[in-house]
Amino acid sequence: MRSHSNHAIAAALTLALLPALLAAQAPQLNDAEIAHVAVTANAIDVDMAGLAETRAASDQVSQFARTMITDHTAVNEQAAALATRLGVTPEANAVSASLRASADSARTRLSALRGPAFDTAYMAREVAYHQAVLDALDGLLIPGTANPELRKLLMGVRPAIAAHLEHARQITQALEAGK
Amino acid sequence: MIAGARSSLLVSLVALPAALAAGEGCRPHEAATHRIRIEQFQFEPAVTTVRTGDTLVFVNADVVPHTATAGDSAWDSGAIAPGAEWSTVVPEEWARSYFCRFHPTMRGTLSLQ
Repeated sequence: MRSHSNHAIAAALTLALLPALLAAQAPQLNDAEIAHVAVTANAIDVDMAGLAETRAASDQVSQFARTMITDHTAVNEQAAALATRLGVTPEANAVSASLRASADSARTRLSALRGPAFDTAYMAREVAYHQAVLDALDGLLIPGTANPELRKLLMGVRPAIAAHLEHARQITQALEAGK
Repeated sequence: MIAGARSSLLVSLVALPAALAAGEGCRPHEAATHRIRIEQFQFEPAVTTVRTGDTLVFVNADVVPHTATAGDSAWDSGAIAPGAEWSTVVPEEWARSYFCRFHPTMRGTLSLQ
Protein backbone atom coordinates (compact mmCIF):
# COMPACT_ATOMS: atom_id res chain seq x y z
CA MET A 1 0.00 0.00 0.00
CA ARG A 2 2.82 2.32 0.88
CA SER A 3 4.47 1.70 -2.48
CA HIS A 4 1.19 2.59 -4.22
CA SER A 5 1.03 5.84 -2.27
CA ASN A 6 4.64 6.56 -3.12
CA HIS A 7 3.90 5.97 -6.79
CA ALA A 8 0.98 8.38 -6.58
CA ILE A 9 3.09 11.01 -4.84
CA ALA A 10 5.90 10.62 -7.37
CA ALA A 11 3.45 11.00 -10.23
CA ALA A 12 1.89 14.02 -8.59
CA LEU A 13 5.28 15.65 -8.13
CA THR A 14 6.25 14.99 -11.73
CA LEU A 15 3.02 16.55 -12.95
CA ALA A 16 3.29 19.46 -10.55
CA LEU A 17 6.63 20.30 -12.13
CA LEU A 18 5.25 19.93 -15.64
CA PRO A 19 4.25 23.55 -16.28
CA ALA A 20 7.68 24.79 -15.24
CA LEU A 21 9.34 22.18 -17.42
CA LEU A 22 7.11 23.06 -20.34
CA ALA A 23 7.77 26.75 -19.94
CA ALA A 24 11.50 26.19 -19.73
CA GLN A 25 11.71 23.79 -22.63
CA ALA A 26 9.25 25.35 -25.02
CA PRO A 27 8.43 28.93 -24.20
CA GLN A 28 7.30 29.64 -27.75
CA LEU A 29 4.52 27.64 -29.37
CA ASN A 30 2.55 28.69 -32.39
CA ASP A 31 -1.24 28.33 -32.49
CA ALA A 32 -1.14 25.04 -34.40
CA GLU A 33 1.19 23.62 -31.74
CA ILE A 34 -0.94 24.97 -28.91
CA ALA A 35 -3.98 23.34 -30.52
CA HIS A 36 -2.07 20.04 -30.60
CA VAL A 37 -1.16 20.36 -26.92
CA ALA A 38 -4.82 21.01 -26.04
CA VAL A 39 -6.08 18.08 -28.10
CA THR A 40 -3.40 15.79 -26.66
CA ALA A 41 -4.17 16.84 -23.08
CA ASN A 42 -7.86 16.03 -23.58
CA ALA A 43 -7.16 12.74 -25.34
CA ILE A 44 -4.83 11.65 -22.52
CA ASP A 45 -7.51 12.14 -19.90
CA VAL A 46 -10.05 10.24 -22.02
CA ASP A 47 -7.57 7.34 -22.34
CA MET A 48 -6.89 7.30 -18.61
CA ALA A 49 -10.61 7.43 -17.82
CA GLY A 50 -11.16 4.46 -20.15
CA LEU A 51 -8.71 2.50 -18.03
CA ALA A 52 -10.45 3.70 -14.87
CA GLU A 53 -13.83 2.51 -16.12
CA THR A 54 -12.53 -1.05 -16.18
CA ARG A 55 -10.52 -0.87 -12.95
CA ALA A 56 -12.32 1.43 -10.52
CA ALA A 57 -13.72 -0.13 -7.37
CA SER A 58 -15.91 2.71 -6.14
CA ASP A 59 -18.99 4.10 -7.87
CA GLN A 60 -17.88 7.69 -7.47
CA VAL A 61 -14.56 6.98 -9.20
CA SER A 62 -16.40 5.19 -12.03
CA GLN A 63 -18.80 8.12 -12.39
CA PHE A 64 -15.90 10.58 -12.38
CA ALA A 65 -14.20 8.58 -15.13
CA ARG A 66 -17.39 8.61 -17.23
CA THR A 67 -17.65 12.38 -16.79
CA MET A 68 -14.02 12.79 -17.89
CA ILE A 69 -14.72 10.81 -21.06
CA THR A 70 -17.85 12.84 -21.84
CA ASP A 71 -16.36 16.25 -21.09
CA HIS A 72 -12.92 15.87 -22.64
CA THR A 73 -14.39 14.23 -25.73
CA ALA A 74 -16.82 17.14 -26.10
CA VAL A 75 -14.02 19.68 -25.72
CA ASN A 76 -11.93 17.93 -28.35
CA GLU A 77 -14.87 17.82 -30.75
CA GLN A 78 -15.24 21.56 -30.27
CA ALA A 79 -11.50 22.06 -30.81
CA ALA A 80 -11.60 19.94 -33.99
CA ALA A 81 -14.54 21.96 -35.32
CA LEU A 82 -12.71 25.21 -34.60
CA ALA A 83 -9.48 23.97 -36.20
CA THR A 84 -11.42 22.98 -39.32
CA ARG A 85 -13.15 26.35 -39.45
CA LEU A 86 -9.84 28.19 -39.02
CA GLY A 87 -8.03 25.94 -41.46
CA VAL A 88 -5.47 25.07 -38.78
CA THR A 89 -3.89 21.61 -38.61
CA PRO A 90 -2.65 20.87 -35.08
CA GLU A 91 1.12 20.34 -35.17
CA ALA A 92 2.92 17.79 -33.02
CA ASN A 93 5.60 19.38 -30.85
CA ALA A 94 7.90 18.74 -27.90
CA VAL A 95 5.31 19.76 -25.32
CA SER A 96 2.61 17.40 -26.55
CA ALA A 97 5.22 14.64 -26.89
CA SER A 98 6.27 15.25 -23.28
CA LEU A 99 2.63 15.08 -22.14
CA ARG A 100 2.12 11.84 -24.04
CA ALA A 101 5.28 10.24 -22.64
CA SER A 102 4.29 11.16 -19.10
CA ALA A 103 0.80 9.76 -19.68
CA ASP A 104 2.12 6.50 -21.10
CA SER A 105 4.29 6.06 -18.04
CA ALA A 106 1.33 6.79 -15.73
CA ARG A 107 -0.89 4.38 -17.63
CA THR A 108 1.66 1.59 -17.28
CA ARG A 109 1.91 2.24 -13.55
CA LEU A 110 -1.89 2.41 -13.06
CA SER A 111 -2.46 -0.70 -15.17
CA ALA A 112 -0.73 -2.78 -12.52
CA LEU A 113 -3.20 -1.71 -9.83
CA ARG A 114 -6.65 -3.01 -8.94
CA GLY A 115 -9.53 -2.07 -6.65
CA PRO A 116 -9.08 0.57 -3.95
CA ALA A 117 -5.36 0.89 -4.70
CA PHE A 118 -6.24 1.81 -8.28
CA ASP A 119 -8.88 4.30 -7.12
CA THR A 120 -6.44 6.11 -4.85
CA ALA A 121 -3.66 6.26 -7.44
CA TYR A 122 -5.98 7.24 -10.30
CA MET A 123 -7.61 10.05 -8.34
CA ALA A 124 -4.23 11.33 -7.12
CA ARG A 125 -3.11 11.38 -10.71
CA GLU A 126 -6.28 13.20 -11.81
CA VAL A 127 -5.75 15.88 -9.16
CA ALA A 128 -2.15 16.39 -10.23
CA TYR A 129 -2.98 16.23 -13.94
CA HIS A 130 -5.81 18.76 -13.82
CA GLN A 131 -3.70 21.08 -11.68
CA ALA A 132 -0.86 20.80 -14.20
CA VAL A 133 -3.20 21.44 -17.13
CA LEU A 134 -4.71 24.42 -15.32
CA ASP A 135 -1.26 25.85 -14.67
CA ALA A 136 -0.24 25.23 -18.28
CA LEU A 137 -3.40 26.97 -19.52
CA ASP A 138 -2.72 30.01 -17.36
CA GLY A 139 1.03 30.20 -17.78
CA LEU A 140 1.65 28.97 -21.28
CA LEU A 141 -1.29 28.19 -23.51
CA ILE A 142 -3.79 31.05 -23.07
CA PRO A 143 -1.18 33.86 -22.97
CA GLY A 144 0.70 32.29 -25.88
CA THR A 145 -2.26 32.00 -28.26
CA ALA A 146 -2.47 34.58 -31.02
CA ASN A 147 -5.79 33.65 -32.60
CA PRO A 148 -8.66 35.16 -30.56
CA GLU A 149 -11.05 32.28 -31.29
CA LEU A 150 -8.54 29.67 -30.15
CA ARG A 151 -7.79 31.76 -27.06
CA LYS A 152 -11.53 32.00 -26.35
CA LEU A 153 -11.84 28.22 -26.67
CA LEU A 154 -8.99 27.70 -24.20
CA MET A 155 -10.47 30.23 -21.79
CA GLY A 156 -13.79 28.41 -22.12
CA VAL A 157 -12.11 25.12 -21.22
CA ARG A 158 -10.56 26.56 -18.06
CA PRO A 159 -13.73 26.36 -15.88
CA ALA A 160 -14.15 22.71 -16.87
CA ILE A 161 -10.61 21.88 -15.80
CA ALA A 162 -11.06 23.81 -12.54
CA ALA A 163 -14.34 21.98 -11.81
CA HIS A 164 -12.75 18.61 -12.57
CA LEU A 165 -9.84 19.45 -10.29
CA GLU A 166 -12.14 20.36 -7.40
CA HIS A 167 -14.28 17.26 -7.97
CA ALA A 168 -11.16 15.07 -8.04
CA ARG A 169 -9.98 16.61 -4.77
CA GLN A 170 -13.35 15.90 -3.14
CA ILE A 171 -13.26 12.25 -4.21
CA THR A 172 -9.66 11.92 -3.04
CA GLN A 173 -10.66 13.23 0.38
CA ALA A 174 -13.68 10.91 0.49
CA LEU A 175 -11.49 7.91 -0.37
CA GLU A 176 -9.02 8.94 2.30
CA ALA A 177 -11.82 9.33 4.88
CA GLY A 178 -13.22 5.92 3.96
CA LYS A 179 -9.97 4.05 4.61
CA MET B 1 -43.53 50.86 23.72
CA ILE B 2 -47.05 52.25 23.38
CA ALA B 3 -45.79 55.12 21.28
CA GLY B 4 -43.98 52.65 19.04
CA ALA B 5 -47.09 50.50 18.55
CA ARG B 6 -49.19 53.58 17.80
CA SER B 7 -46.64 54.76 15.25
CA SER B 8 -46.57 51.35 13.61
CA LEU B 9 -50.38 51.27 13.41
CA LEU B 10 -50.40 54.70 11.84
CA VAL B 11 -47.93 53.65 9.16
CA SER B 12 -50.03 50.57 8.39
CA LEU B 13 -53.21 52.63 8.03
CA VAL B 14 -51.49 55.15 5.80
CA ALA B 15 -50.13 52.40 3.57
CA LEU B 16 -53.41 50.47 3.40
CA PRO B 17 -55.17 52.41 0.63
CA ALA B 18 -52.15 52.14 -1.64
CA ALA B 19 -51.86 48.43 -0.96
CA LEU B 20 -55.54 47.89 -1.70
CA ALA B 21 -55.31 49.94 -4.88
CA ALA B 22 -52.44 47.77 -6.06
CA GLY B 23 -54.43 44.66 -5.26
CA GLU B 24 -51.84 43.34 -2.84
CA GLY B 25 -53.02 40.61 -0.57
CA CYS B 26 -56.08 39.69 -2.63
CA ARG B 27 -54.75 39.03 -6.14
CA PRO B 28 -53.56 35.44 -6.69
CA HIS B 29 -49.86 35.07 -7.42
CA GLU B 30 -49.15 34.86 -11.13
CA ALA B 31 -46.66 32.10 -11.78
CA ALA B 32 -43.35 33.40 -13.04
CA THR B 33 -40.77 31.74 -15.25
CA HIS B 34 -37.13 31.84 -14.14
CA ARG B 35 -34.42 31.01 -16.65
CA ILE B 36 -31.25 29.65 -15.06
CA ARG B 37 -28.33 29.61 -17.46
CA ILE B 38 -25.66 26.94 -17.09
CA GLU B 39 -22.44 28.36 -18.47
CA GLN B 40 -18.74 28.12 -17.67
CA PHE B 41 -19.62 25.38 -15.15
CA GLN B 42 -21.81 27.70 -13.08
CA PHE B 43 -25.53 28.20 -12.52
CA GLU B 44 -26.42 31.79 -13.31
CA PRO B 45 -27.92 33.29 -11.25
CA ALA B 46 -26.53 31.31 -8.35
CA VAL B 47 -29.53 32.26 -6.20
CA THR B 48 -33.07 32.37 -7.63
CA THR B 49 -36.03 33.65 -5.66
CA VAL B 50 -39.11 31.54 -6.46
CA ARG B 51 -42.67 30.87 -5.32
CA THR B 52 -44.69 27.68 -5.47
CA GLY B 53 -46.07 27.25 -8.98
CA ASP B 54 -43.27 29.16 -10.69
CA THR B 55 -41.47 27.50 -13.58
CA LEU B 56 -37.73 26.95 -13.61
CA VAL B 57 -36.01 26.59 -16.96
CA PHE B 58 -32.43 25.36 -16.93
CA VAL B 59 -30.60 26.27 -20.13
CA ASN B 60 -27.30 24.50 -20.84
CA ALA B 61 -25.00 26.91 -22.67
CA ASP B 62 -21.87 24.80 -22.05
CA VAL B 63 -20.31 22.30 -24.46
CA VAL B 64 -20.74 19.39 -22.04
CA PRO B 65 -23.87 17.83 -20.48
CA HIS B 66 -24.97 18.95 -17.02
CA THR B 67 -27.80 18.08 -14.65
CA ALA B 68 -29.92 20.11 -12.27
CA THR B 69 -30.47 17.84 -9.28
CA ALA B 70 -32.12 18.62 -5.95
CA GLY B 71 -29.83 18.58 -2.94
CA ASP B 72 -32.14 15.98 -1.37
CA SER B 73 -32.38 14.09 -4.71
CA ALA B 74 -36.16 14.70 -4.82
CA TRP B 75 -35.92 15.84 -8.43
CA ASP B 76 -33.38 15.41 -11.19
CA SER B 77 -33.29 16.74 -14.72
CA GLY B 78 -31.20 13.89 -16.05
CA ALA B 79 -28.52 14.89 -18.55
CA ILE B 80 -29.25 18.26 -20.17
CA ALA B 81 -27.38 18.16 -23.47
CA PRO B 82 -25.34 21.14 -24.67
CA GLY B 83 -27.73 23.70 -26.11
CA ALA B 84 -30.77 21.99 -24.58
CA GLU B 85 -33.01 23.09 -21.74
CA TRP B 86 -35.14 21.43 -19.07
CA SER B 87 -38.00 22.88 -17.11
CA THR B 88 -39.97 22.02 -14.02
CA VAL B 89 -42.61 23.64 -11.81
CA VAL B 90 -41.83 24.53 -8.23
CA PRO B 91 -44.01 22.34 -5.96
CA GLU B 92 -44.92 23.15 -2.36
CA GLU B 93 -42.18 21.03 -0.89
CA TRP B 94 -38.95 22.06 -2.51
CA ALA B 95 -35.29 21.52 -1.80
CA ARG B 96 -33.49 24.80 -1.27
CA SER B 97 -30.31 23.74 -3.04
CA TYR B 98 -29.45 21.93 -6.22
CA PHE B 99 -26.30 20.82 -7.97
CA CYS B 100 -24.95 19.13 -11.11
CA ARG B 101 -24.59 15.39 -10.58
CA PHE B 102 -21.76 15.22 -13.14
CA HIS B 103 -19.91 18.16 -11.60
CA PRO B 104 -20.87 18.31 -7.91
CA THR B 105 -18.89 21.47 -7.31
CA MET B 106 -21.55 23.31 -9.36
CA ARG B 107 -24.26 24.44 -6.93
CA GLY B 108 -27.30 26.69 -7.00
CA THR B 109 -29.80 27.92 -4.41
CA LEU B 110 -33.55 28.47 -4.53
CA SER B 111 -34.76 31.14 -2.17
CA LEU B 112 -38.45 30.62 -1.43
CA GLN B 113 -40.47 33.82 -1.33
